[in-house]
Amino acid sequence: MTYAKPLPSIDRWNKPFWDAARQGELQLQTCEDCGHWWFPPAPVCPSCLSTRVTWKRASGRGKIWSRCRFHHIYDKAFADEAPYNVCMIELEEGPLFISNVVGAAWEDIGIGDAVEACFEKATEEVTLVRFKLAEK
Amino acid sequence: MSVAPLLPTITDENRPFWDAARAGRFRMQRCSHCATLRPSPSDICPHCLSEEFAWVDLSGRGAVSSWCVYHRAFHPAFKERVPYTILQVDLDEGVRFVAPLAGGGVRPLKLGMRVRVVFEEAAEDVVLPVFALEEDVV
Amino acid sequence: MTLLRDEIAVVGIANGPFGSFPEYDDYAQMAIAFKAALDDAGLEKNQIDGLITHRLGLYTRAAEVLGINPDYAVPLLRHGRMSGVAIQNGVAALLTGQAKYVALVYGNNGRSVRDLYGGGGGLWAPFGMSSPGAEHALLYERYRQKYAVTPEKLATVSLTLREHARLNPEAVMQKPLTLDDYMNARFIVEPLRLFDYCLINDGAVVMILTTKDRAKDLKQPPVYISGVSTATDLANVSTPPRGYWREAMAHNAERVYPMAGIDREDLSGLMIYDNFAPNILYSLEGYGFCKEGEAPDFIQGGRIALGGDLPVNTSGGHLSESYMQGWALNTEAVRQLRHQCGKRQIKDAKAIQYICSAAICSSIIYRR
Repeated sequence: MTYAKPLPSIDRWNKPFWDAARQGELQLQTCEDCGHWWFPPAPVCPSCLSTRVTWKRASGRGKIWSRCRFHHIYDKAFADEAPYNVCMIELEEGPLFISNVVGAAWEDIGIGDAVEACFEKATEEVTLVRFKLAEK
Repeated sequence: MSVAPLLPTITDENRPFWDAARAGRFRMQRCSHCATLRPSPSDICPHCLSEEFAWVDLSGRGAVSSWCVYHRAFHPAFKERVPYTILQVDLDEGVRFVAPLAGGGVRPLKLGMRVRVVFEEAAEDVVLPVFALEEDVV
Repeated sequence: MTLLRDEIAVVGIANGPFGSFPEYDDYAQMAIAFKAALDDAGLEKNQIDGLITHRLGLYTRAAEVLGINPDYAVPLLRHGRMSGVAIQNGVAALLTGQAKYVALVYGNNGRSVRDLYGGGGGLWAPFGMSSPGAEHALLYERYRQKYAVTPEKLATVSLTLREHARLNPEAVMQKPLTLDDYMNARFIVEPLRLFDYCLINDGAVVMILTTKDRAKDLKQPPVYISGVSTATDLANVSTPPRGYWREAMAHNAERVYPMAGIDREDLSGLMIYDNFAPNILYSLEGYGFCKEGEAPDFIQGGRIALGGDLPVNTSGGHLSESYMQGWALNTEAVRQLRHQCGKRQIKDAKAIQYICSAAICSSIIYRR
C-alpha cells in the first residue's frame, strides 16, 4: 500500500538526519567550535556562524514542552487517525522538535513529561522520528 | 502549424480574449469611461480605474515596431520550432501587442512593416492570434 | 529616540466589501479599494508616488492594474505580520523624502480560491503538523495549563469581538455568539475551538499616507501615525516561540510610547492582531497592560468591550469582521480617531495602538 502522508523533502542539508533516522538513530547538527546543537539543519552554526558543523548522535531524550490535538483534517491522509496528538519536544541538547507521542492516550500526555525518541518506518527511504513516554 | 505548445492560463478576466480567438476574432477591452484600450486584461481600467468596460473587435492591423528571434529553446516544447520570431506590433488602434510571426521561422524584417492578425491552432481548443506580414497575405 | 509624534498622517482609507467574490481577483478588489481611498482623501491617481503591496503576488501586476509608475515601490510577502511592516516602510519613505503620497495596498481572494491555511508541505507536515493554528494551539495549551485558564475565560475574547462586529455593518459575522455556541463548537486543533480562529475572506484594504503638511489640504481630518516599532523573533522560527514574543514586545513597548509622546494610560483603545484568540492575551501582557498570566482575568468584566476601559478590536477584528491580515484593524483605528464609527464609536477617541505579535512584532500608535 502506498504511503499517503506527506514525506519530508530531503535535501543536501537534512539528508544526514534522515539517513540516521533510517538506522534508528537521532542525529542533530552541532558546532565543533562552540558546541551549539540545532534543528532544522543549516549550513553554518546559527549561534557563532562557524562553518565547522558536523552531525552527531543525540541522546534521544527530551521533555514535552507542549501538546495539541488535531481534530480538523487538513490532510486526508490523516483522517483515520484523527484526533491525533502533535507535541513539541525540548530535546536534551536544546533544540525543539515537533512530532507525535505514540503509545499514549491524550490524557496521559503531560507537559514536562520525559520522552524518548523512537523510530517508525514510513517508506524504504524515510523513517520518522517519533517519541514515547519514558519509563517512569 | 502550431506555434505555442505551452498553453495560456485562462482566467475569468482573459477568457473573452481566448474565446474570441477561437472564433477568429481579435478582441480587447475598452474602458467605457475613458475609451482607453488595455492589452493586458483587467477588470479595472489602468487609466481611470473605472470598472465599466466592453470587449471590442480590433482591426488586427498594425506595424512592426520591434522583433526578436529565438535561437535557443527555453522549453523543450520549442525545440523543433527554433529559430522563431516574436514581433512587437504597434496596432493601428494605438496600443502595443506582442505575438509570434505567423508561420514560424525567420523572415527579413524592417521597422514599420505592415502586419495583420491571423489565427493559428496551438492545441485542441486553443487558438493563438499571430501576425502575418501584409505582403504575404493575398 | 526620534519623536515621530504627529509627523505622518493617514489621509485616505478604503475597505472593499468582505466576503466571497469569485468574480473579482485580488488585484481587481485592490484596485477598487484604491480608487475609493483616493476619493476618500481627495487625491488624484497620479499624485501617488509610493506603492507598497502586501500579499498580492506581483507588485508589477499591481502597478500595471493601477496604471501607475510610483517613484517608490516595495513588495511584501503574504504573512500577516507584513501589514505593520508596510506601514513602517511607508512612514520611512515619507520621512526620507523618497515619496510624497504612499499607497499601501492589500488584496486577498483567499476565500474564493479556497486558500488552505493548513495541509500542504512544511517542515513538520510528515507528523501531521501543519497550519498556523496548530502552532498557536501548542502555545496556548502550555499557557492555559500554566495559568489554569478555563475555556470560559478565553471565550470572552470571541464573544466580545462578536458583539463589536454586530455594531459594524461591514462585518461578516452578524449573528449573536453565546457562550454555549462557543463551548459546543468543535475543536479545530485542541485546545483551540472554531470561534478562536480568525475568518477567511476575500477583501481589499488601501491606506494612503502623507506628511503632516500635505495632509492639511485634503478631505478628511488627518489621523497621525505617531509611533512605529518593530522587533522580531526569527532565529528559531521553525517552532512556536518559547518566550511568546515577550522580549520583542517589551522592546517595542520601551520605544513606541516615547516616540509617540504618550503613555499607555492615554490610549483610547487597542487594535490587536487576532489571528487566534489567545494572541490577544499575550499581546496585552507583552505590552504591559497587565502582568504575565493575568490577561485571562484582565479581559473580564467588559474591560475590553466598547464602553470599557480599553476597548479592543471595535470593528469585530479578525475573529468576526474579516481576516484582512491586520489592515482592517489599522483602518478601524483611523476611523475611530476620525470619529466615523457610528454605533461603535469610542467616546472621545484620541489615541489608539495597533499591535501585531508574530515572528515580526509591530506596534503602531495613531493619534488624533
